[in-house]
Amino acid sequence: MNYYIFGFFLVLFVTGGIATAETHKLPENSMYHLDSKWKTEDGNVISLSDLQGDTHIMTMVFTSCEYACPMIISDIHKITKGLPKKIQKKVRISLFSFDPEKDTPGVLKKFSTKHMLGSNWNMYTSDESTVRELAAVLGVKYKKMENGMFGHSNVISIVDSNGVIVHQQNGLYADPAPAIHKIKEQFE
Amino acid sequence: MRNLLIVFLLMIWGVCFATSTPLSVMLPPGQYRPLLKVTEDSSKRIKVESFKMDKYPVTNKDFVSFVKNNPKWKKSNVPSLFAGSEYLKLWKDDVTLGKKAPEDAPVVFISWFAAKAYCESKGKTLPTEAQWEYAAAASPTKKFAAYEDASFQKKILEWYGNPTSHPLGAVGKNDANIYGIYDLHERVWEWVLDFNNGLVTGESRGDRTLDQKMFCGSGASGSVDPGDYATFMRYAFRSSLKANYTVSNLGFRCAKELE
Repeated sequence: MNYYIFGFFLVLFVTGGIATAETHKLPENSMYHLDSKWKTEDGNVISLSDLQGDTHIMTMVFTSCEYACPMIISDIHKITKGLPKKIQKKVRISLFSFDPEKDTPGVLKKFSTKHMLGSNWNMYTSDESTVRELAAVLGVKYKKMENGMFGHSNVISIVDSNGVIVHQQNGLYADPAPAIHKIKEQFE
Repeated sequence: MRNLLIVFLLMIWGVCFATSTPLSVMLPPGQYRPLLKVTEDSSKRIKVESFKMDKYPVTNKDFVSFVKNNPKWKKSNVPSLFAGSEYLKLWKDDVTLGKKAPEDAPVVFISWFAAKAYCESKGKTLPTEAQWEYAAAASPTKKFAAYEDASFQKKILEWYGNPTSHPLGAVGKNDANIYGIYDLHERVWEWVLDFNNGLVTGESRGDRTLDQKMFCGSGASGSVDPGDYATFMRYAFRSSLKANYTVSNLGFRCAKELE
């Protein structure tokens, strides 16, 4: 019994130590624990953890995709359109590329212009290992096909300001209502 | 006398070095038969370039020294994003193994993130699914026993049928396969780098038939190669995993692309 009490205090002590060592006190399941570097469509290098502080709608795409990616973007529009104007301006949309080879910042920029993505949208590209890790965290399954395309599952994640995934919308054409509800909650 | 001493010291160093560094072997380039398109086009092969693979799964001893050098991966430090609550469950504490986790047994209750970090710390990576399956298709005598040798297939399936009991035995006790790699089967299941590639073929029609194959046993046994049920099981298992999962019979080994 004493052993358990000792263990309890040990846990308190250790977690307390970590919490004070870390300036941000990220929750354990925060995706911002990932040491993950990306380039934006403007060629700026960012750390994934730089995204903390805002509520994000996140998904993964590749720009040479002709079918599912435009669909998933229209699914995101369905979510943002269902939000009050105030929140629409505050929520950020982050699209991460599967394709380190073809999706250079320049290519992302073109895609973003072509699809008229607003100023609260960002696109990011990185190396294979970083992409695989983020996909693992977002629960996205993907595989590079022989023709250079990517087979992937369509998952839209709502991520709170601490990097915790609070909701996931699976598959194309899903009902946006639950995602809208979850985002609104973030701003209450 | 002095020369002898130097030779002796070199020998000790050699022994220490050999036992503390997991040895790896070079695999020749070849062709791997993927599961996904087996029935669509049974002649379909994927080319695998030459690569290096560790002879043995990573052991508890290997992983303890990694954790000591990388305290971020200690049980008490690792955030749940990277490893579930059962991470390194058999260990007595952060850096002590205890009775349930013998030094030379494969490390289990390990997450994909931890496995990946370990390999990267050695300048290596986790093997891709294609690399792993390519290496694991070999028996002690044949490169592609998994595709053509019924007794080899049967042996693997029998192992899958038996529950894992702890403590696990030491690595390297069974016969090596034809490439000199040990314990790809009949020991623990192993993480691969792209474990999260499952159930997608990029084409919805293909995905639907795949789903049926994955989850309907009769579908698999009625397929072109019923003996490859073991491969179906591995793919199904991988597709059920998440990167922070820790499982009692899931370990890993590292590989390295050639430069």
